[in-house]
Formats: sequence, structure tokens, C-alpha cells
Amino acid sequence: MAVTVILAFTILFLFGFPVVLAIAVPAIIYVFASGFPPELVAQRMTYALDSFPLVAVPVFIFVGSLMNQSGITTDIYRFAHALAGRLPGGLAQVNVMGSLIFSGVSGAALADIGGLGRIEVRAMVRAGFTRAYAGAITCASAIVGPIFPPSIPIIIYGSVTSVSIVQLLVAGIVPALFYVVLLMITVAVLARRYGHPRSPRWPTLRELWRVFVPAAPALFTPVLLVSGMLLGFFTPTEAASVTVAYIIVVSLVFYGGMSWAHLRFALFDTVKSTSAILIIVSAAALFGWILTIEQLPQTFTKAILSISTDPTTLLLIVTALLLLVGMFIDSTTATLLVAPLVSVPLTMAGVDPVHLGIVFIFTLMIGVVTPPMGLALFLISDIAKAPMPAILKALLPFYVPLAVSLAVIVLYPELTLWLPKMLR
Amino acid sequence: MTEQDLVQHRPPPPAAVDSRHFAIDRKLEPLRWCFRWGSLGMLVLMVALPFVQVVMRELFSRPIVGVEELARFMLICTVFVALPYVVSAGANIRMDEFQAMLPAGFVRFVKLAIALTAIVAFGAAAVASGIAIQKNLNNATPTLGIPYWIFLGAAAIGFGMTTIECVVQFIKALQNRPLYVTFPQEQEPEELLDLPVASRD
Repeated sequence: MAVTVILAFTILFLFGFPVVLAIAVPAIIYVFASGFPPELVAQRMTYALDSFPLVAVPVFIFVGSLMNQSGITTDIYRFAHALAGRLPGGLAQVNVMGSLIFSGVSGAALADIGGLGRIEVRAMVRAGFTRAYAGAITCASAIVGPIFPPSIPIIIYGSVTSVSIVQLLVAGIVPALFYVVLLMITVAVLARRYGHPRSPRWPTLRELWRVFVPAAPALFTPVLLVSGMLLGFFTPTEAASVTVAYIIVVSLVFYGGMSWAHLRFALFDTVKSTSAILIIVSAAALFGWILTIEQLPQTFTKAILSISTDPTTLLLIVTALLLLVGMFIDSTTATLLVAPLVSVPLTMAGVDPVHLGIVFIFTLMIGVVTPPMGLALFLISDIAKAPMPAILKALLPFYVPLAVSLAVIVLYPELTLWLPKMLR
Repeated sequence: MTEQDLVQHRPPPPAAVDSRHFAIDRKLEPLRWCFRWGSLGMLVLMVALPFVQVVMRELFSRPIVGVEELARFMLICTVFVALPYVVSAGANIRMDEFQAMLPAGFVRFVKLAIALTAIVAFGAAAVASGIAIQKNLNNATPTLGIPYWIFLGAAAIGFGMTTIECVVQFIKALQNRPLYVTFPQEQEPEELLDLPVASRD
């Protein structure tokens, strides 16, 4: 029966049914056909959302939307330009630096592409870069968002697997920085090869200070978030809410660029995204309950542990599985359906749950920039007005830092764990 | 130029139109307005609650009892009350890349199937919520004592209105009209940018 339910989900999903329907329809049919009480559908779907950590998801979506509406994104870009514009690769380096700063406030790759990405692509095209290359580097750099704290996928992962969200968020810092360094090296190599433009000179200290001041509130946000959580002042959800208040105050007092129309747009945008994402969480709870009733997690655990009990081998198997899953299923759905299945056997085999979480999210994020279902690719193709094959061709060199980062994150757990271990 | 040429060169119809374009949408607008702004109000409250708690706890040493519970309650209500808005705007997460490769006639069939399936699924969820309300009339949350029927009521109302939206989309799919609607209030404000540029060495 579990196989039928999964098969039905796959068929509906591939035919373009909304994910919530692809999950809910087989699950509802199962409940009715198996003679379970019908109210179970409503109860499972409602109680799945009765979680305080999940409140952080809409709040961080709101943060991303506010950033894009308040004009802070533009100031981040200006600061990143002053800081990295002279490096080989010019605006491509600015793109990477900008994404890193943006990811310290927002927690989603698509918010980065949709907000900062628009500005970056426009500036890069004006400076002489091809639309495809501008789109490719925007996609590649946006991957940092879900790894560097705060991160919406990490919050969802922590909620589903009951792993400490604070530990997961802190664990993402070093892998994200490692990936950024590799990405900047790749950009520099490509710049030397193709003669990409860059700023004619380094900025003076006065110029740097002038762009630093408006960007400082955004730069200070990750410090505020992480230190606040680690010092025990607030939980991740409260940290998200504090960030919103901070950005609204900063926008109104220091920037003055946010009108009621901007705020209203950010709110409507957040309401839509929140319901669209969390209704899947709700339906996935019913789906997950069915898989549990059908003892699929136990069957999967036995099967995977029969292949090997070596943590590294298991982690490599799961990474390969996630790469495949991420190519076809969006990261939220994949996290909700796959994380509960793989976390039990791997933790039993000795893989650190925090390490697994970072490997899990990073691997799924590669799927966001990989065909056939890379959401970031579709979004950037629309923003950059470049055909998908051209973007994919330009993106090819950036799969190297992605693959190297993934390999290092998987094979060297200490890279991910040394920071959280210091805090345990 | 033949009529066939004209048809072939006509641009594809937009996926979404203004909510005042079709009569059926104009009739539904007051109801949609309630759900849209209702979910917006709940979102604002949900975002504000944890911040208020931090201020009260850290600055005044007077934490408010039950704020977490109220925030969770607001989350549940926001998700379900905003669901009809998501469906009417076509903002559901989906992967329609395979669908785009299918012949146009088959795609129309799939769209009808999606709308019909959605009516049945959301309708069933609304009924299930109604039954759950009946069976939980005397239950309430532990701290604030919020009756369960309010939680489940948000789900029942949200699923009910979503079913109505799916019926509207089914009718539109039958008439081959754009399925989704947009609202004037949700348009992104235009912005002029003055960005720094780079140059070739």
C-alpha cells in the first residue's frame, strides 16, 4: 500500500499537480479506503503546524521580502561593490559577496535571486557581462542563503527531525564560507581566462566608509541573530521576529525608503509564500503518518543498514540519493518526505545529526541549480532574460566548487562540527 | 493571411488576469477580500508576538504567559485562511515542466483533472475538519484554553473557501479562460536604481 501511495504522489507530481494535492490526494484516499476516521485528515494536517520553530519560517520569509522592498538590498550591493569590485571578476565577485551578506539576513536562495539577483544581473549586463553568465553566477552564489544562518530549509529540517535548530544554524557558517571562497576562486579563474571587466581602482577609505554606513545594519544582522541565540536571549523564532522589528526600524529611521505600498507588498508576498510552503508541511504530516503506519521507515532502516554500517559509506549513499531527489523535487517537499526516513538509520550508524543536516540541505540546494527541475534556473532565466541552455552552459564551471564543497562537507565532518562542538 | 495563421501567431493567453475582469471574480471579490486581509492581520500578529515577548522578558522581566501558544495558533490560522488566496493567485508550488512538454489538448485535460481533483480533495478536507470540530467541542489548548474548534474552524473555513476557488477554476478551465487572478494591492511598487558600474582594464 505504501508503494501505491508513493507511486500516486510521483505520477500526480510529474503531471504538474500542485505539490500539496500530489501529497494530499493519495493520503486522503488511503485514510478513507483503510477505514480510518475522516477527522484524522484534519487533525493530522492541523497539528503538524502546531510548532513554535515553524513560526520562524514566515517571519524569515517576511525578512527577505522586507529587505528587497526597503532598499537595504541596494545598499548591500553598493557595499559589496566597493569591497569586491576590484577583484578579478569584478561584478561577479560583487555578486558572490552580496549574496553572502544578504544570506546573513534572509534565509532562502530564491529570495536572494528574486531580490538582490535582479539588481546584480542588471548591473552585470550593463558592465558588459553576458546575460547567461550573470544569471549563472547569481544562481551559484544564491546557494549560500540556505546554508548560512538564518536558513529557512534548516529550520524546516530541524523541525522535522527534532535536531537542535541553533546547532544546525551555527554548523552552516563554516561550510558556507568555504563554498564562498571556492566560488570566488572560480570567478577569478574565469575572469583571467575571459577578460571580465572590474572596477578601475580600489575604493579609498572614505568611499568605503560612505557605503559601509548604509549597509551596516544589514551586516550587523547575522551578528545580532547568532549572538542573541547563543547567549540565550532568544530562540530562533524570536530571533526572526527581532530581525523584522530591527529591519522595519532601520528602514524607517535610517533609510526612509519604505512606503506603505512597499510594506503591503511585502506582507502579501509573505502571506502567499507562507501558506504555499506550510500547507505542504501540513499535507506531508498526513503522508508521513501513512508511511509510519505502513512501517516504511523501519523497512528503509533495515535495508540501508544491510548495505553498510559504515557512517561515511551511508552518508555517501544518502548524498547520491539526495542529489537525485533534489533534481526532481523541490527542497521543502524533499526535506519533509526524505529527512524522517534517512535521519534514523544514519544517526543509528553513528553519523552526527547536525552534520547530516548540513549535508542534507547543501545536497538538496544543488538540485535547485540542476536541471530538469531547478527552481533557481527557471527564476533566473526569467530575470536575466536568457535562455535556459545558455545559463546551464555558463553554470558548468560553477558545478566544480559545488562538487568540491559537497565532497569536503561529506568527508570532513569536523569542518561542519567544530563550531557547534565549541558551543555544546 | 488565413485565420489559422492569425490563431497561430496570437500570443498565449496570460496565466492571471485582474480580479475585476470576469463577472464570477467580481462576485467573489468581497469574500476574497475578507480572506486576504484576514490572513494578513493574523500574519502581522504572529510576527509581532515573539518580538513583544523578547521585549517583555529581557527588558521588563515580565514574560507574557501563552505567547508561544498564541503565535502557533496564528500560524495555523494564517496558513489555512490564506490558502484560498494562494490557490486563486496560482501561487501553489508545483513542477509543471513536464506538463509544458505535453500536447496542448492533453494539457487542457490535465488542468481540468487538477481542478476537479482539487475540488474533491479540499472538499473532503473541509468535511473532515467539520467532523473533527464536532468531536472536539469540549477540548482546548493547555495554557490559554483556546478551544480546538477555533483551530479546526480555520482549517474548515480555509478548505471550504479553497473548494469554492477550485470550482471557479474548473469553470474557467472548461471555458478555456485564464485560471488565476491578481489584485491591485499586491502589485510590486516600481523603483529606480542608480547602481555603480565596472569597466574593462
